[in-house]
Amino acid sequence: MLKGFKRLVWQLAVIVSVLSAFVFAGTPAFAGNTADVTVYATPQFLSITVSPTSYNFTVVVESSNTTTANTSYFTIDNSCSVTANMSIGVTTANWSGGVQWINSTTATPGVDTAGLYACKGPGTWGTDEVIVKAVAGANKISTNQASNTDFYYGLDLMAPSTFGDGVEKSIIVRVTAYVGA
Amino acid sequence: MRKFGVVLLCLLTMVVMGCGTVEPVTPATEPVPSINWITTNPNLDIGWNFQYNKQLDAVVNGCKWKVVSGSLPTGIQLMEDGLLTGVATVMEETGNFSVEARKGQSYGIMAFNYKVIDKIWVYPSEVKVGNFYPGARAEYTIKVHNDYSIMSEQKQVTTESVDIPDAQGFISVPIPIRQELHDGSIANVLSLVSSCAGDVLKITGYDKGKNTIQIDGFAPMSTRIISVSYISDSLFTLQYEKPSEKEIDVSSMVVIMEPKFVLGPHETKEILVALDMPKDAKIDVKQFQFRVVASKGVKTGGGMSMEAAMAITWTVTMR
Repeated sequence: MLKGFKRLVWQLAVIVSVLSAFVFAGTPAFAGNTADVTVYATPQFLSITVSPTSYNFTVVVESSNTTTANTSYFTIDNSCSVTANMSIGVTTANWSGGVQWINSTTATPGVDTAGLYACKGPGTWGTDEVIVKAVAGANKISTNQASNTDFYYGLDLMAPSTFGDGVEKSIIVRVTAYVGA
Repeated sequence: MRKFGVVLLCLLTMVVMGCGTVEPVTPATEPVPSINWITTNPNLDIGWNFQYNKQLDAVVNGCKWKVVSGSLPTGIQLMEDGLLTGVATVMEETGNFSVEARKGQSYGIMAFNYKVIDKIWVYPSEVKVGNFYPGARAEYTIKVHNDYSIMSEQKQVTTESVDIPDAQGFISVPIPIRQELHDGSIANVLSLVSSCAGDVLKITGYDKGKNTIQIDGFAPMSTRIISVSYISDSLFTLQYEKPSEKEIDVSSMVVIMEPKFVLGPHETKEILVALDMPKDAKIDVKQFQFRVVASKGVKTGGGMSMEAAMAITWTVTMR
């Protein structure tokens, strides 16, 4: 009787082992440290373009204040399928070309230091404008912009109080569409 | 008594006269639609082959909307609350339709025109990572799509170098078809020259490697201005970006498998982005964000360049 019981236990152990092998063989081989991280995405599209793609303030004088023709000079063609925020910033800290201009983070002109403002159209200079500074920490030019709804903006350059040279300066202004705060 | 009878007769006469007065009856007709009731721009520019959502607007909220004539773009439908939604599936489809927005007895009708065109897009808009911890790695494949944009350039050419058989010449014209990024990288991006106007000119070929087009039909003149239209490949970049100065810097942990790439017209690329956090990383917040920014190259130099970028927001929640 005891012998038969031992045989039964042994047979059960073999069956459990074989079944376990099958079960674990069917489990994906996760890297040990990534198995329980959850990653998922929001199925929405982001899509914007800008026109025109360049602007030249031409010759400016020291301490001058020059704006685009109006606050709706540039068009953002917004085809985002979701409500998005839009920030505006410059991609570099300085304007390139000869003696570089610092792009002031407070839009305060100084020696070879320029300030730049942006205003969403049809807003008013001085009341609706935001400072255009580096993209990390860039200001919002449009909050909760409805999906597939275009908007417009203009730029205002505060020229340096003193120029180090007369070489043409350039910089890239970037409008970024994003979801979230 | 007789006086009373006269008064009564007068009153009766007045009543009868009053009843006999026929007031003009307004026929029960449909109210006339209100002008400017619908406020949405009637020219719709719809992206091809990706999700389209646009809320139509009227002067009051809560209208019920319906199409009353024409047809919507293939793949797009109008919901009763005024949301145009769907995926437009026919490239370059154009057409028009009219919608009615009604609230009670008040309503308006507006005619819309539409055009379906290929546009730049990135997908998705957000990636969320949960239950994350030092030593873990999270991956997601994002998609970047290039549009089909035709560009035009004004170009001054001279005939000095022209070979002129039979008083007709051909010339190789360099055209500015390279894109330069703010980091100084440059890519040759010419894909296809579509037309060339300015005289009786004919494009006989183009050389992507040399950035030139060959034009036939020049008469011997000193200089002239031509306009060249071309379809361009595009140089894209993907970069890590902190959403604000307060966010923690995980730049060394963000792995973008291909941070620069060229896309032809209509082309879509999938790129793996990973967040790889070392075991000894010290993260003292429960949640943080960063962005992966996709941008198309712009030409630089000569004043300010405008750039449009799309940022995928990654929200990471720690275990």
